[in-house]
Amino acid sequence: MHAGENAQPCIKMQIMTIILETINLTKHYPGKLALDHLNLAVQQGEIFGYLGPNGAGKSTTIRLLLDLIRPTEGQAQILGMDTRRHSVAIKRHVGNLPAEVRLWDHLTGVQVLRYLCGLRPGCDWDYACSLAERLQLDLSTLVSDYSTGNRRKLGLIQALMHRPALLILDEPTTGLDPLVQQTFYDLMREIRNEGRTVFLSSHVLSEVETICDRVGILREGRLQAIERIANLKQVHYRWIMLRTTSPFNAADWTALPGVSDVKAVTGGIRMRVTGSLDPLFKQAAQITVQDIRIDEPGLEDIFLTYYGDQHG
Amino acid sequence: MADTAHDLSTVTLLPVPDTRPGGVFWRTLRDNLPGALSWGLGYGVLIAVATVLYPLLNESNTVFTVLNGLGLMNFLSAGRDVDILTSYPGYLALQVMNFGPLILAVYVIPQALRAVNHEERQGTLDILLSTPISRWRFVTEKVLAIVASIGIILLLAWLSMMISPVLLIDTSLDATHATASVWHLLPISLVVFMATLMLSVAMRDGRHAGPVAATLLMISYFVRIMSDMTPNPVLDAIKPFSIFSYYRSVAAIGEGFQWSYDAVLLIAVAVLLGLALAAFQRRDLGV
Repeated sequence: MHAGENAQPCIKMQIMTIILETINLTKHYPGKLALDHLNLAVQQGEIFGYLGPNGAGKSTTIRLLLDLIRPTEGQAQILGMDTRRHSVAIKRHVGNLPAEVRLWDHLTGVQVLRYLCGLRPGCDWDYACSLAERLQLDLSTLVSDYSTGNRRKLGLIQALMHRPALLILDEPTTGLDPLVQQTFYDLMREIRNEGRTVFLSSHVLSEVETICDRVGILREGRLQAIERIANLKQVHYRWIMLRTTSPFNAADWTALPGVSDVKAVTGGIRMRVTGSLDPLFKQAAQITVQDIRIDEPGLEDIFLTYYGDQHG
Repeated sequence: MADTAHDLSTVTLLPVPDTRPGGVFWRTLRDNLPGALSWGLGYGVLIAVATVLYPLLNESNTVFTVLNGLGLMNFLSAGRDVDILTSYPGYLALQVMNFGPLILAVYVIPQALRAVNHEERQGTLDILLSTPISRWRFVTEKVLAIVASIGIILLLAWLSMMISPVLLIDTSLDATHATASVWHLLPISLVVFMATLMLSVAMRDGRHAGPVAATLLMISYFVRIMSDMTPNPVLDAIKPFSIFSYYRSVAAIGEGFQWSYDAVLLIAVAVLLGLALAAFQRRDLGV
């Protein structure tokens, strides 16, 4: 899109459900394969969660998409344009929140936003101010005096203030307090409802569960799986540990719906529960329970379970 | 969890015009302004102090005695009339302008490091280059802002050079020659700036660019001095590669603009800028 097209009220493009696509995207660093032939497609209007442990290659993918680093092999397209050749055109429609928000310490929040607004022609200043209000961020403060969470809020505002068609967010809720996280989730849903797209990297399963439609799992630079969250939730289980001195029969617990892997452990009983906890609590009411501990499984465990179930 | 059940029949992109040029330039210039003004005032004060001291030194013939005693007369005069060096313009050129590139390097080298490398190390480059500005435009706007900052310093130095003798010792400098003398600081300072910038974007660890550039500058300076003081075939052979061989501020104060020498330095500036842009364009950032 060029300046000469400004006179048009808006541009209707061809049917293009895929907003972001990578084709065999690969990045080698000396002595390390950071990303290995990534093939991924993100559709318009979805919130796509990009999950993986630290060092899995999430930030590398994002930096490749933003043309901050160059692929060793393969390519990526955003809005149908090659991320290398049309990087500037793409960035007019993309908002980015890096994993670590580093801004100019000697500027105030408002100065940072004014600076970046000046570099973003579609920037909506009133919207930026309304975002600051919603996120409860005082823009008159120097960046150096902001807490990590407030820097993140400022980073989020600069990523959103031009109403981008695609938002690329790297670990967006790190350092945000729970109330602000809720506001963030609301914002993401609003963006999705407007038909815009969010590509969100995270290592927190609960966050991805809360807002994402689909999730891709990355491990050691390789995409392990892409799955709809709704499907994953079917296998979302927890480990329950009941501390009790009462005698119990493991078979009684195994018979409960959704309960498996029942094991007697020192001072109690441990089991895996999928789905509702109600039958378990009703059974537990018949014995003396001194304590209960619920452990969320790791993401990899869920995926292993999911794909274990799928394959057999 | 809502499924993606939106109407995906079209993607509507609001038209977004090109980014107006100058955003990075003005921000950088604004950030650099206090420093540039301080440096300009400092240089101006240096000129004023040298001017105040001139009558005293001239009466006792100190300038000539000291320079001659150091064996510097041949080097500094470079075939010109020695008397001009002991005149006020010559004295000023020797005392203030002769070391100008070294003095300005203290400002210019850190600025070159701040332009790109510092932003990259700080992580702010990621944010900046996530906006719709190209890498070459980012570097170009940064460079122009720093050139403008150097211009501010030189402007203040020039003002002091014009005003100080009138106010302090009731004499005046030829305006064209004074302008030429100050002007000649610009091309050589730009070479230092561009060389540092190029090294900072091309080297694996850009922080080393500062020490490397400073070392090269000092080698260049001493090659020029030594080759004039003690003629030597090796030094004569490498002398053309010293940027100080093309720095004519001292000659300019007596003879006016020395465009051919400037042209050599400005070509070097263009080549170094081209190399810096090419290196920055090709490499991975923030790695």
